[in-house]
Amino acid sequence: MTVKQINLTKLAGETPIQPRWGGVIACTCIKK
Amino acid sequence: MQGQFIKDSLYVIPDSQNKTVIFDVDSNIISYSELSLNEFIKMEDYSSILSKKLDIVIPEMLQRNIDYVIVGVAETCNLRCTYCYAENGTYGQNSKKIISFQELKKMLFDLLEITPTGIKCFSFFGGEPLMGFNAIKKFVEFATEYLPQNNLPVPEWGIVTNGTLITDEIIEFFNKHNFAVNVSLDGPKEINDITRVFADPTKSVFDVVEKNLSRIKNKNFILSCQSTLNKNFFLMYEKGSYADYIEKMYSLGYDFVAPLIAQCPETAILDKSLENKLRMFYEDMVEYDFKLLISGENLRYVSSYTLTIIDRLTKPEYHLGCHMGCESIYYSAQGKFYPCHLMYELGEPDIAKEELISEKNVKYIDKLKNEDCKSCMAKNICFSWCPAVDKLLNGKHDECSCYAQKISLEFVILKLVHITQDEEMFVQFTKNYKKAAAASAKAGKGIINNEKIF
Repeated sequence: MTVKQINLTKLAGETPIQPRWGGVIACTCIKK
Repeated sequence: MQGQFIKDSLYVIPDSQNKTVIFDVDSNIISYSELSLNEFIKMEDYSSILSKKLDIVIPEMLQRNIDYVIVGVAETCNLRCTYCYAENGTYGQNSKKIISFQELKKMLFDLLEITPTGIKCFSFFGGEPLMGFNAIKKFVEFATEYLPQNNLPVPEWGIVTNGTLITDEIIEFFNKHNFAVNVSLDGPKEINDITRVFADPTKSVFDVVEKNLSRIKNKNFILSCQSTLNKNFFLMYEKGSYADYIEKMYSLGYDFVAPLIAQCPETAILDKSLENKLRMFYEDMVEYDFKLLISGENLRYVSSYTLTIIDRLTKPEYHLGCHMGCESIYYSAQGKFYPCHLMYELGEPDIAKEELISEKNVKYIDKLKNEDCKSCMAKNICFSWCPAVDKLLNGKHDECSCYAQKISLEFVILKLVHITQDEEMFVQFTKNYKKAAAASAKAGKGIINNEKIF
């Protein structure tokens, strides 16, 4: 079976990325 | 979803050329087969794909510091947003409390007792924190002087504001102290003003914020937007309109815009019509982001959502849920610490000062205690699971957020496989992705300040 592994190591960065920007935490919207 | 599990941790997705992409959800390894999905599934020997497992590390378990303190400055707000989780900013306290300078000082000294090396970032939150601007100003000025005198670093400052109370004095203050400023808007006027409203509904929140943002000239701080996407937004969404939406948002003067799905009872259940719209939106978002990452144009427009997925796919890591109670902590205007503002609203007990840096607090954020998370194709990548929302929904997850996370992960995987087939394109993509990722990582920590990021 021919299966080729995709090499993404070139993309790996040292600093983790946050899904949210600006040094703040997003507010999840909850209405009771 | 387009894909399915076939064996153990192997998740397969058909691509547009009727070939098969294989994603090992335990190790984040992606493989590609020339066979169609049906042909591939008929094969019985998957041993060549079940490659050596990588050692998965859990970054949050290594972290025993509090990076962020979210400060509930004001338990009151001048807006009446229809979806407000905090009961018009009051957190059900009815005292409309605004924190004082003395109380902020007490918070700082309490924190310094347990984190002698200082706190990396304070983020002022509400209600509407600018209703307590005088206390914030005095506190920031005090800390900026006091901490260096005691050989401690000045923290980074952040604020989440609705943007309606911004004045020239406040802009000058943000400039002076290099704030990371998040001004919330849910989208263009026709979307935003459905949900974000003043007590006097004849005034437009969008118009006021737009005018206030236009006063900001020569700024020395990051201006970002967490654009909350609610059910209205998705139901009105038309295929292909992502670029128009995001570019309109950037035209208001933001450095970064992060579209984030609202998690609330109205998105807790995923029905068919919403599913179709979510699929459209996230497909368009990933398509748009990859177009920029290939061309190198407008790299700051690339969503942090897509960048975070790519980042996590490139590393053998398992991430817990959010950072509540571990990397970040909430301080209420009433003077107590909580895992986060939502847990405070939901009545979770406060955390004693002595318990703030404790492994016990990891209990809040390990999503793999949930049976369905253990078997989810996005389990290593996920940044959507919210323990507070689970608490609100009696143990159930917000289905729209889960779907958005999985469908966008599928789209990103398919795109990455496609790009790696073209060596020249992949080189270009890698160069641009690195630039966008580095800027996003800095922005996420609120530390871009004066640096030229692109």
